[in-house]
Amino acid sequence: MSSTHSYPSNRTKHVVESKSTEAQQDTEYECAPFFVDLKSLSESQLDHLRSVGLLGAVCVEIDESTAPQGVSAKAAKLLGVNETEKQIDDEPRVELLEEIRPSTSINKVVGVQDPYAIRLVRSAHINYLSNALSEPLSRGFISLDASHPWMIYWCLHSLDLLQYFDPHSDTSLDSGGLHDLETLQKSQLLKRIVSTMKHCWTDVSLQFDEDEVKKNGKLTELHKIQQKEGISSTNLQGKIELIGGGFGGGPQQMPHCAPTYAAVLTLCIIAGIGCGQEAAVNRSQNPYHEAGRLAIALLNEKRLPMYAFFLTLREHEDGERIAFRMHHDGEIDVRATYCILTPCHLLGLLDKDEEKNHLLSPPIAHYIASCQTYEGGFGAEPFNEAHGGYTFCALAALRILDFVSIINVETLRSWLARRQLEFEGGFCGRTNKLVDGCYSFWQGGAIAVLDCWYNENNATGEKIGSADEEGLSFDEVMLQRYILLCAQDVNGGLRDKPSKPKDFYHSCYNLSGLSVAQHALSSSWPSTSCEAGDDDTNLNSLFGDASVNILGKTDPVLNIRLERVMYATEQFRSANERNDQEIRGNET
Amino acid sequence: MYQGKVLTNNNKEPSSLNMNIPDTFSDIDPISQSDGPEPACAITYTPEFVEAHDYLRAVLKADERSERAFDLTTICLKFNPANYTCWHFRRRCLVALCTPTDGDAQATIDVERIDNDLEFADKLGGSNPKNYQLWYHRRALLELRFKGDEKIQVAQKELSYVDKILDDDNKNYHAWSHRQWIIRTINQPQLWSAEIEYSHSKILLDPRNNSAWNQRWFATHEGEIATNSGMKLGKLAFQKAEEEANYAVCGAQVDPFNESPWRYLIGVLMEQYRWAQREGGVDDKDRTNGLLREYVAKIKEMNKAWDSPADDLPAGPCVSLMSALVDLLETIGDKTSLEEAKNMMGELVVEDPVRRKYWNKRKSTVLVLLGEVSD
Repeated sequence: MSSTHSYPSNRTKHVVESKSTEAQQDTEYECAPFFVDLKSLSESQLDHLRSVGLLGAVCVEIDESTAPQGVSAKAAKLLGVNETEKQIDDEPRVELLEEIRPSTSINKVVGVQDPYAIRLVRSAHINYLSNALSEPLSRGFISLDASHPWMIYWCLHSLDLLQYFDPHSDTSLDSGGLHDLETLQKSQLLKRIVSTMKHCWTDVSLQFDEDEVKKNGKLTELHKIQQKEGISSTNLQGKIELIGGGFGGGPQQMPHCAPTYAAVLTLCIIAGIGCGQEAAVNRSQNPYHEAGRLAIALLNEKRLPMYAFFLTLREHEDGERIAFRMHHDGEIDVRATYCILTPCHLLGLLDKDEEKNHLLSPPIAHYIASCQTYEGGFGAEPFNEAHGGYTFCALAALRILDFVSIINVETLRSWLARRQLEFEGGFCGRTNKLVDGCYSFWQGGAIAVLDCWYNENNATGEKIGSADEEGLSFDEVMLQRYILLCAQDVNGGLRDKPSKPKDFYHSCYNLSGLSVAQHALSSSWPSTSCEAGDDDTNLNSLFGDASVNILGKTDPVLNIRLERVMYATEQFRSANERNDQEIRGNET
Repeated sequence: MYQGKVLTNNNKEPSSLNMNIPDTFSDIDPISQSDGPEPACAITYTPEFVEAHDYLRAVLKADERSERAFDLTTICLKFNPANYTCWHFRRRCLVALCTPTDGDAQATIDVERIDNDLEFADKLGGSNPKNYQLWYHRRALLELRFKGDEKIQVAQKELSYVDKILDDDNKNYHAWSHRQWIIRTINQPQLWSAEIEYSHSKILLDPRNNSAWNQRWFATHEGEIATNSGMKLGKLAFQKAEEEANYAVCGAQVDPFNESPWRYLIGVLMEQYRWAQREGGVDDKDRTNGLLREYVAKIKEMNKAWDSPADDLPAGPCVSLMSALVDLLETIGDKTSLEEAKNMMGELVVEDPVRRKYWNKRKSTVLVLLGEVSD
């Protein structure tokens, strides 16, 4: 906890009461208890916080020759110490003993800690999230039956941020057997996820003008492949039929941008985990390699059909703007552009030459720009109210397109800055609305994207102003404080605000926001490979227990860890070059 | 395969609930969900859910756009109103059922069916007016209804429906967005002006309802997007801008701690200023600069309230007021204004600490401008 940081206690003021002011007061009232000065608590109250894992035990020294104080909750389960419920219905209570710090070796001697440093209750979150993936979900989840890839992405990305799949040196903790069993289960889980995604893929028959196929290297290649397989044809009207497709919300559901985005991110995470990272010190190979291989194979197989599908979602709004639908005969809004550009960026489907690539055209950027409101943020459609989710999608999409400069950057910056709440420290989604943990990422991430762009584009070699100008433009300590104190459910999972129940979506975006707040801004986007390895160094001011709380570093544009982005983009870079050669071949 | 025999059944709801699915579809084979082995995030479906969806998959595969398939979608959507595949197929069935079977290219719209479906969507939405698919379904249905002569009446009826939703949740994003879609699709003067009134009534109800302020912007601008080609200006006429600025500053006077009117005010003023700088003549530039200065004076006057505050006035300073003031001062950009802006931003670093890094960056920008401006 930074001792130099002062926490404002300004409650919002009003002259006139209304529904909005009441709601805001209620929220401040609901959060206030969580901001209690820990020093004012009794020893038994502090003991309670320690027992749930929010505070660490005082003066922990771990001698490598003795058995450690506790076991991970997962191991406890395996040992039959805690019977946790098979189904996620109500959230199972997990008894925490001592926590394992994933990326720091437990053989290190830990000195006197700050006894008041709030912790991320890692084991609880890991249990919640890993159970969500591996155990059956109750019938209440039927409302998410059209969002399977989302549920998986939210949980997997969260686990990845928690370094769940990171290799760590074998510890004296296990005698190899238990550890291997746990790793085996994780590896199985990753393979199950790849298989699940595979079953969420749906093919769809598409038609293209012969002309368009000829001019587009990727479509040409797809056509060639499918002709060889005997599944493509030219119909009577001279149109070429290709089999495109995308991921749907579940098996046998229509392809849709949003689950496609979630599926591709998920597969890239697995690819990176399995094939993009080193094995642990005493292992000859990465135990997740097989899963990684399967993920890459699936992405390789589907990237061109997916691209073809994306092209058919274009909608010409007027001569100057092109929007995208979320699915065939579906709604148009600014999310679709982001959901399409993200997989395309990761899978090497974008090339910089505008004429040849239909996804980088200025009209797409102009459509996005037309969604910016007088307030500075972006709405779902032109003139819709500025909103955090859409603002993030708009800005991130423009970043991928390299067209950030066409919007009003100043009003956007101003709107974003105003979304952080003075008392709570978290972000709200719109003016005069309430704090919500998910905006930790949508707004905090957007600020990170904009700041990074700003640094790139204003770099004159001279630094103007104070040193404070480096780093994020929002109060990252206040945000971390909100997430750790108000958004955590000590039984596992994270939430909108204390009065709301946890869920996978809020777990994902609170943790993603926390990661953004912790890690220093990248110097550029796309990030350089040396930055990807920067997990424990180059951090912002931290709130709480730094030995426990630091997450993996998420890419603020794509929202998977930098290492995963690097691996995926490397993998598919060569594929893109092949497509370019196709086109050059067509032209000779 | 079931062949296009259209059953007339005007009272859809209860009968489809009571459908015996296997009997009704005895001629086709159900298709089970192909999850693969051990799917992740596996949902424990109820047997009723499984049965309904096994047959849904079958009719989807066969693309059977019939009455019984339509009824089946009703059942499935009650289980999961977010099933966009099912909604999509339901619309296909609707269109097929609305089209006379004599192959007449001009489909006569079955108004009753569409109204029934709007009713259905409403009932389904009851507990969750935040469902995307429901709102999109309404749009798709209304697109059919808007083709007729009484489109304005239909639009107004739908607008009252949305009003009902907003009564309950006055910032519902989809609802406000839906209103915008209706009004810009119909594009009739009376709907534009009525929406200004509507926004005003919502602002009176809750001055901090930012959605209502945003709607006012939409309605006064009549949804006109400024395009690069310059064919659409997308900005208010100057006189209208003066009126809107006045409206906003009155709102700010009512409660200076309310961010909404301030941002609306700055939006109106800056829209005029930017246009004048880019495309206006000398006169345009003069009068917009005059407008900015006029409001700087007004806001400074308002700020004096804290010199001798009334008892019920919350303690100053008022950050929202100062934020607006610095925006205008920085824009005016002469040396005096920039100095004032710089000083005020310095105050904001202290008074608005959660945004101190932002205010420091703003201050740096002003310092650069000061370095560039001549005395």
